[in-house]
Amino acid sequence: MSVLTIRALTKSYKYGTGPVLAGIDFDLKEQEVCAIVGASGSGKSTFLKLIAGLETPDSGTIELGGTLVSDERLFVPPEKRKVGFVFQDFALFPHLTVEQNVGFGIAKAPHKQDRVAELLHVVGLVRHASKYPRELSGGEQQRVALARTLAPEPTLLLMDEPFSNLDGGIKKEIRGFVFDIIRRTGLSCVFVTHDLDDAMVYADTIAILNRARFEQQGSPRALYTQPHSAYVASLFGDINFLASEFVQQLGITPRKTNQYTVRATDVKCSAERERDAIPATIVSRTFLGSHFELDVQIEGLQALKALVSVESAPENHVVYITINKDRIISFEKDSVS
Amino acid sequence: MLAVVLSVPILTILVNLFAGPGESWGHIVDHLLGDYIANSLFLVVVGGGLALLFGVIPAWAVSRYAFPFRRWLEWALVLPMAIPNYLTAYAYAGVFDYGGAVDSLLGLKIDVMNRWGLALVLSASLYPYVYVTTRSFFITQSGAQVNAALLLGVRESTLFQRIALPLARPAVAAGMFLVLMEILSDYGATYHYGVSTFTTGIFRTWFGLGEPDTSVYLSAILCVFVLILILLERYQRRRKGYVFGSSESQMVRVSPARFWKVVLTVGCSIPVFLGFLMPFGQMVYWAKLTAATVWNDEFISFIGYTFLLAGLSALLCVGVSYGLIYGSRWSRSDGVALVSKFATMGYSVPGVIIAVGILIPGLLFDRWLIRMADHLMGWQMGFLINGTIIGLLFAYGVRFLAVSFNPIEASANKIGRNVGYAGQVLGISKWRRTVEINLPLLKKGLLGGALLVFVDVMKELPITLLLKPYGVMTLATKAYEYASDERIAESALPSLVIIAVGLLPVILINHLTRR
Repeated sequence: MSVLTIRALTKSYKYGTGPVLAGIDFDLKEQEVCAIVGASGSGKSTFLKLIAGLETPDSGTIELGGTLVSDERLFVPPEKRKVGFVFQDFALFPHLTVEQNVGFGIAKAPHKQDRVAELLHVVGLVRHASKYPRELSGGEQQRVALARTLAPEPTLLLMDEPFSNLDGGIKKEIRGFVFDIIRRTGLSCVFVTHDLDDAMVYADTIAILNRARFEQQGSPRALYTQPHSAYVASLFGDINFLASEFVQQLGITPRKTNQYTVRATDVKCSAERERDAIPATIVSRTFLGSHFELDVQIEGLQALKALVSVESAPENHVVYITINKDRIISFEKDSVS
Repeated sequence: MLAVVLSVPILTILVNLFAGPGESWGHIVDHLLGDYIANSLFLVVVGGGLALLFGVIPAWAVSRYAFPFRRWLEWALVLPMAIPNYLTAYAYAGVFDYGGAVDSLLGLKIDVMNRWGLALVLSASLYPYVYVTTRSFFITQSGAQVNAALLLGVRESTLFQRIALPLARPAVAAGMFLVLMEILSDYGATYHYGVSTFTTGIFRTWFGLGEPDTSVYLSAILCVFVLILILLERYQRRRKGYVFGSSESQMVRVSPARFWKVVLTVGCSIPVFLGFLMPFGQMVYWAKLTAATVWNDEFISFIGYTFLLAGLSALLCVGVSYGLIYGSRWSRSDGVALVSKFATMGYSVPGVIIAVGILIPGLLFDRWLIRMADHLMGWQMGFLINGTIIGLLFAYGVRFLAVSFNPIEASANKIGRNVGYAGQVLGISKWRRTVEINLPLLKKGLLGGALLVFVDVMKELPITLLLKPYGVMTLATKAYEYASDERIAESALPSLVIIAVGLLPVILINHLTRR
């Protein structure tokens, strides 16, 4: 069953240059975790706020668990949508203790104390129950925010850049912890992130938001191997746009309507001449720790970027390039961003 | 709706302009208007210029240099804010009067009851606006640039003129805007010193000549002056576009040579002496002489009325401010935000204009209401707006809404929208969010806003004089009445009560802008 169904959702801000979201369709299945990825200002947070009812859409429909909550005539306010929301800045109530924060949304629940105790136990904050948010570390505040959101047992969990306020080590630890709880409680979740690592590791599906639309939705693997546009492909690392003469040389008959690309990681450079290899010269070499980034020039054809491991990086000035045909990614030219 | 209600005074002035002036307009244009314009400009230039000196130089001195009594002077320089202009004016009149302190102690006879004296009084009383904004800028924002200039070889002697002053221009301008607005809208001091300006002209035309229509014309001209000031301030704010360093890079305070330390201590003491110690000392001296005759049950009732009016206005302004701020958040519309901007413009409008702008439509409304009540219900009722507490509170609301709105909005912005959203998505009702989240978190802003309105209403003179119910006296109008009746010494006791309460926000402001 679909937990969330969105059709033709459009939102624009009056003084903006165009719509932030233009005719968006979106579905989320039960227990599915979906990451919304996009550049800053691409409308990711607006999308979450529209689902929660914190913003009003211009048009389109939103259904939660099969119940219509927003269309042209109906607008169910956020307090009646039973949606949990974890904010980027956690938005804890600074004048309430950890325990009071967690119990705030279930003031009238019959077993409030038990539920709060249970959640504090789940997030590992039992001994901080009487502390105030300012007395906690960033990671602990994040866990309070999660417990507070889970307390009223929402049907859907929304998280807006939930880990961007945390630093390196603690971020990884908290991230694993939070998604572990989400999986254990069987919640459906939509989270917004600009960090593709978060999305690749923890999401069942990823939706790429670009130019007010979802450019592609699918599993992390599908997005990596079959990107629908250069924008989606480039999210996973440097890509090379290939000239049609070069594509032909690789044994592919190029279509005029298509654009061909290859990832920098799929460009092989070798000091030895192999069969079908193309000679090139190294223009620059940048050391990146475990890898070298090489800028190579194929005489009379084109420049390429290659990412090769330190061990296999050739030392010569002249190298031989091989590209596996299967690794060529092509899109219709219209979809190139 | 609220925007319409709050803009009634200004709309009245505009609408009545088309009705044409009264009979005396020709006389005023021929004989008085020149004086009004010349004197207003004189006060703006001379009074404003002196306030600039008294404000900016000490602000730089206490931020940059270490010298004896600096910490004490740093907050004492704000003290004149506690004394309304007209009380400082009364005190100066006493100090320089025949037999006053200057005459009896120094044997000097100086006449201050003229526009030069008035310019000095206003500048001594109003310079803290410039001092507060400029000092706050120097302390929090100029450190990085000053340090960079020093490292680039700028000498200490030219640091102020080449770096600090140009940098501080937006802050200085913000303070000066307030000073000039206060100078243009002053009534009490100007009236007492017999200087003819627009505000005194508006009063005289209304009450002396009995021509409300003509006073509206004068109000409109004053509005033009005010509008020019507002536009100038906006223009320069738009131009500033500076990029400031982080507030963490503070300016290093240096210790000058002994001679300069003495100069700085004496120099920074002058504004404190002129703006606070001298008028306050005079008031205390007078109060000792007259307390026995002034202090009686009637006087206690004046305190009661004043506190009641100030308290009700504070509640009203804080309530409306809260409604506007959270109304715009809850409604998710730009309309309410726009109304908020409009509603808080009253602080830029001189009290006299607001009073005149309420009296005229108030009178029409009251007459209509009396007729309707009589016609429809057969009731005999009195005025609802004119000369009633309702009219007076409405006028205070229009004038001082911004005073409470700004600190409450600042507090609300500090909390951020997500905290409110969090309450909403947790399924909490609006009422519970108000009581359990917003009010406790906004406590400081609400109390600060209420305190500022309370004190402003206590000090307020022209609106109260024009709109107060018959027989009601506040401390301010009582002090004014004593001063007008040549019983100036007796004005000291009500003045001291106003000053005592006025000190509370001064302490608050000082606390907030301290390093």
